[in-house]
Amino acid sequence: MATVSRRDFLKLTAIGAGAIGVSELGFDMAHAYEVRQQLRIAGATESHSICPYCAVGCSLIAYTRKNADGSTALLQIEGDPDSPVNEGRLCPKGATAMELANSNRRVEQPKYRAPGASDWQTVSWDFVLDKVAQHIKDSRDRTFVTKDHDGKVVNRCDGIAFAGGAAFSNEEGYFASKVLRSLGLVYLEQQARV
Amino acid sequence: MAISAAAVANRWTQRRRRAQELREAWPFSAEVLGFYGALLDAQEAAWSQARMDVPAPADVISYTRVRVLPAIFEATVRSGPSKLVQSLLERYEVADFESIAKAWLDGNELLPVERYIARAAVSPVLEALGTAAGALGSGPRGGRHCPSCGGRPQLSYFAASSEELLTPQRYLECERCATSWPYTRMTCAACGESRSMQLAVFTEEGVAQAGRGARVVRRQPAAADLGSEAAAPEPGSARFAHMRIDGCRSCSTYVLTVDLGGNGRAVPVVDELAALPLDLYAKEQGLRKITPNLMGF
Amino acid sequence: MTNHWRDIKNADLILINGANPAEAHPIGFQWFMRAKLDPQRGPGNGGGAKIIHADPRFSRTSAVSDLYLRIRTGTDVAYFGGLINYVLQHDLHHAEYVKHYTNAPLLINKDFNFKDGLFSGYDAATRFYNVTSWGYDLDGSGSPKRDDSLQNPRCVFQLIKKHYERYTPEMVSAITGIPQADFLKVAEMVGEMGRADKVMTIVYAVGLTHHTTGGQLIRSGAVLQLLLGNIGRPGGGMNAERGHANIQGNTDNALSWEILPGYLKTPAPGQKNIDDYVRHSASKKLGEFSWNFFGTNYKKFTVSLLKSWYGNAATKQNDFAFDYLPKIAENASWLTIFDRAMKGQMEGLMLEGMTATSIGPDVSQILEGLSKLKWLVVLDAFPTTSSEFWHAPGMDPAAVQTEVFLLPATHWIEKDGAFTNSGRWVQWKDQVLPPQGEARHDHWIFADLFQRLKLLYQQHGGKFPDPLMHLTMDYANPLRPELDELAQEMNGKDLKSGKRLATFVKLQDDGSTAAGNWLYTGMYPEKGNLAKRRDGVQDIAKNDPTGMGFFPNWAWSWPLNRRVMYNRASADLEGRPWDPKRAGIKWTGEKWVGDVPDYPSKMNPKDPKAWAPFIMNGEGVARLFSNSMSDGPIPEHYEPMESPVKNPLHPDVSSSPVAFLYDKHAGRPDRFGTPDEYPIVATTYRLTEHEHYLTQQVRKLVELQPEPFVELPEGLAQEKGLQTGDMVRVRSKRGKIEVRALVSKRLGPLHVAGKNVWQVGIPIHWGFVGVAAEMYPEKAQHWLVNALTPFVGDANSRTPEFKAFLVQVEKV
Repeated sequence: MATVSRRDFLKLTAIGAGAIGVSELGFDMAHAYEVRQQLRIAGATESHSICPYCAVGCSLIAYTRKNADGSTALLQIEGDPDSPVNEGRLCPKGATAMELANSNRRVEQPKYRAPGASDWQTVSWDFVLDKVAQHIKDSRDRTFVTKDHDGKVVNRCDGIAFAGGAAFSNEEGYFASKVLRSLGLVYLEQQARV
Repeated sequence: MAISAAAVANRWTQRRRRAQELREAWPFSAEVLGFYGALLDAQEAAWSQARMDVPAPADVISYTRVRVLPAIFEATVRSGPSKLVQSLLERYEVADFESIAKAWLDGNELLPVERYIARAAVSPVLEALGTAAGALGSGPRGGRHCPSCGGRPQLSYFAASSEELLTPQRYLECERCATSWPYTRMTCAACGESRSMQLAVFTEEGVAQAGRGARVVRRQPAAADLGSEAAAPEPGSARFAHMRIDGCRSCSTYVLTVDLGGNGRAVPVVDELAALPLDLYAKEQGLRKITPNLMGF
Repeated sequence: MTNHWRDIKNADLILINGANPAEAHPIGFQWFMRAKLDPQRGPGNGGGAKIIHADPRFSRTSAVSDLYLRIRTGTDVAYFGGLINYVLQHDLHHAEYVKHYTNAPLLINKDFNFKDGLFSGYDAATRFYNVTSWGYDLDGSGSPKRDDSLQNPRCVFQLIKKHYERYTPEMVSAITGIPQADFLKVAEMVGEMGRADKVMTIVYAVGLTHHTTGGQLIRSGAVLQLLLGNIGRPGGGMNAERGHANIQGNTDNALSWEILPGYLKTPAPGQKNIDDYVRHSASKKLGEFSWNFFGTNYKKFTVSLLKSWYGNAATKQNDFAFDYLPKIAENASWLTIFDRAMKGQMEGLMLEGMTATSIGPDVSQILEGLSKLKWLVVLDAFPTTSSEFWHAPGMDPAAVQTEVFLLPATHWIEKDGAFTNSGRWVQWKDQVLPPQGEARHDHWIFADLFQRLKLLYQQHGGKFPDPLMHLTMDYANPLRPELDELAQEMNGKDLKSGKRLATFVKLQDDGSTAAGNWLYTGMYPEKGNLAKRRDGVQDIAKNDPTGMGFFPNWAWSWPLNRRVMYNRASADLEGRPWDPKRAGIKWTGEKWVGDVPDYPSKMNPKDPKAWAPFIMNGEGVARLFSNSMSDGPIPEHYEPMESPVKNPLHPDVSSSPVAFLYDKHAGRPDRFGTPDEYPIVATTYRLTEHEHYLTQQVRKLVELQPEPFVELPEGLAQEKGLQTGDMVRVRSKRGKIEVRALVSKRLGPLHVAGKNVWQVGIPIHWGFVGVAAEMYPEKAQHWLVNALTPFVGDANSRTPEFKAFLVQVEKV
């Protein structure tokens, strides 16, 4: 190693590596380049999820890919092998969670059925939100009790009930709990009881 | 727990078998694998001898120089690519071996040819010593480093699954002593990054991503009903159906991952050496391998 | 669960009642199988465990159990009561634990008694107990009197012993149908579990809860576990499996009428201010060794909640806006909602991921209720039997005046946020996909509705708008709060420094702290969201240092990352684990190590003033006898409301004397059937391939289990001339279903109270919406199993009696 200094040589190889169709150690890369050109490679993202079905809480790995049109495709769901709960296993339901996530049976637009009507109408979000807000206000104002028969302050709404929440995240449940109670709702229920 | 000699010896048979298979299946790596196959004989002999000799950790380098290096050198000169052979013959002197090997074990920067010769000769001895090799190097153990010798991960693999709906553990395999250890599934093996958005997985299109566990169901066109099996190409139609590039945008490195569930005949260390087009792709993405493999890729 | 899924592998004996984990929780069930089969876990470590399955139907769980007991549905109090009797008669209880960690030595009020099926304080006219006589006999200082010899006939131990004397093996068999010899085999195995080096777990599901005696069914198991010293220990506990991904988390968040977030009671009319509310709601400290942690901190948690909700509008001067909290006088649960709807007292209903029409009970009454609403809002990712009720088969849309809105909601994979599993592990998930179509996140729908409502009140005024006007919306975008922001709000912070808190111990009652749910304080401290942690089985040695399966850095567990609740009771009085091989926590001489202790981390257990172990209870000890249940301080067997036999213990008080009878109260005709008309006992169950009603939208799963059926024992099928595949009609007093017969050996005859009784089982998953219904639209009209079930619930929780009712079966 006399002619070129060690440091210079390191620089040289770093720059020249792979640039001349021959690898660092001298393997011919031509064929590999050719194959590389034919390869269609796709980038995917792995994300963490939790199974949407029972309360065991199996961890999932979800693979997604951004399509050229900007949409995201879900490629696969499998068990997360690191989880102390499921250690990579899934049951038949969890293993088909894909289908729940990628369903053409979803409701994709708000729908409205007028009293006595025999069909749904597809409507806008503004339409339903305005109408529901007005309903909540009217029903609340009609059924709100400030003081009960004994004159005790109760500040509650007796005519509106809410039930749900076993399928959405904690933070959504907390938010629903907070907002609904600010309206004075007391008829609040969840799947836990039924 | 003692591993029987037969079970371990089987490794070499498996490597040889897989190198032969891939030489035929993947002509683009025929040169690399042809040379690797020739080197395997010398490495296995060195490994067998070292298992009997059991050199003390402090003596590993000198032991390797005396007992292993000549055969490795000879095999390389006989079967290696001309550039490597030429470099070895022109620039390399046996007297330098011990300092080069030490530098390699210390993780210092080396010339490709130096890295090659150190690794080709020392690793069979480390592999033979098993956990005893751990006394050699300094530095951290466990996590992103080999729990035995502290080496960096050469590759990552998913174990084969024993059940249809089971996704098995991910393992890393050591660049130096071939020890493998379980590692967090969705975390960079170089820097520990775990945010999904920073981690990119590249696979050959039409290939099941890590095809065990849940069945692959593709997103259907809106008109089609759901639930039918994917219209995706058969996994077998892709060359690298069982491999992927695990890249990290935070530290710009990648590691190749071999899915043994996707191909039961794969031998991670051999498949990793042979997947040259994936390496080329990863480099185009601006990623560098956590550590180059034996053949410098 | 007091414990968690992985912990089940630590058990020596696993009792499964009212559950079928092999089929309903298959992945959770791996921990049962590892307890039984894992050769790495020798005796005393959990390996070689035995499993006993008591269930009306032989299932895949039974197939791998060491003993299967065919039990009549709804009679588990008799089974557990018989086991309690066996343990006490043979002196097999964990004496030290019972004496020091339970209320066994405490004396009960002299007026307490139990006679002919009724506890003292019963008022037949109102069907209510006045529970005054169920309290402790207090000394002059207000502490319960005690007898540490456990001999005083008025001490809890003797009262319990006497109560269960009646539960002889003969009686157990007469009630449950379990042959005496089988029962005695179980009793022997259970009897060994009172040893300190043994531990048993009880696992249950809705097969225990869905009864008019549901609360007591569970309590009877808990009393057995306390007598055996198995609460608080790894491998022990009372463990509810739970069937929905976040049923636990949003119970914690109080989408439930009787609680506020963190299990604070909802205030009642007449509670004038916070102090008054706390006085009525918090447990009181009884005795000098009781810490009474919950009671002591109740006000801090309440004030911090109000600060979180009402911010600067919650001041000391206005009692932290206590008036903004609605006060409820009567039960406001599921059955009450539909009872009120039927009476025309409910104008609007919002259903979110829950479908009342399928859930029932007594679907025709539910449909009547829905039809009498002014408006119904369904937020869901899929159409449901509730969003579609107005044009269900057999309904005339023109006659239904309810205005119906179907709001497309995102589902789990389209948003981030945490799910809390049944083992209380709070696990964060990523948003994987963008919303499909125009679907919106549930909380964004609420946020948007809220802003529109606020505007309406600002523009037009209305009733008591103050809480709306002052509700905090401190999010970057109040129309689109991020779940991360909400998680931080739940965790809470110090309002002076603005720093998030690491523990609820720091919460204050002076308005200087806020926390939306004190139970989640510590999940999101300054160092970040701990529910995202992922140190799992990839490195067991490092991530599970105790080897007990706690995995402290995998996600986060409430409270305070504790993995086994009440774990102070896993160690003896001096802080030594009852079983050193299965330590929960232990005292090192300086501090407690192991799991996160349910105790002050540096409190020396040998200190004469050390707190008693159950720090959440006012007594500081666990309650074998409790005055907090409305149907009795000691679990007693009552028959289901519809039963084929009279209660063998007290035929004149056969079923629960206090279950609330909605139809009777409302003046509606009686809807209970009698055994002469409906002689067959029916129960409902779930299948592996389906989850509740949602999976009717998943074609693959419908392909695996395409059609509903009723499972019939061979003997009954013979009597009725039925074969597998025949169409049969199952009728109750309330309705009918028409489905195929599945004749099997999994159900069989029962000999009960001198009578032969048949049981049938019906899976619940089908209705008139979904893939299967579209395949068989003609048939789907009569697929709702809850057309059969009774409109009556548990005396405490009002959970409907879905699991035990009477039917008749006939060929169509």
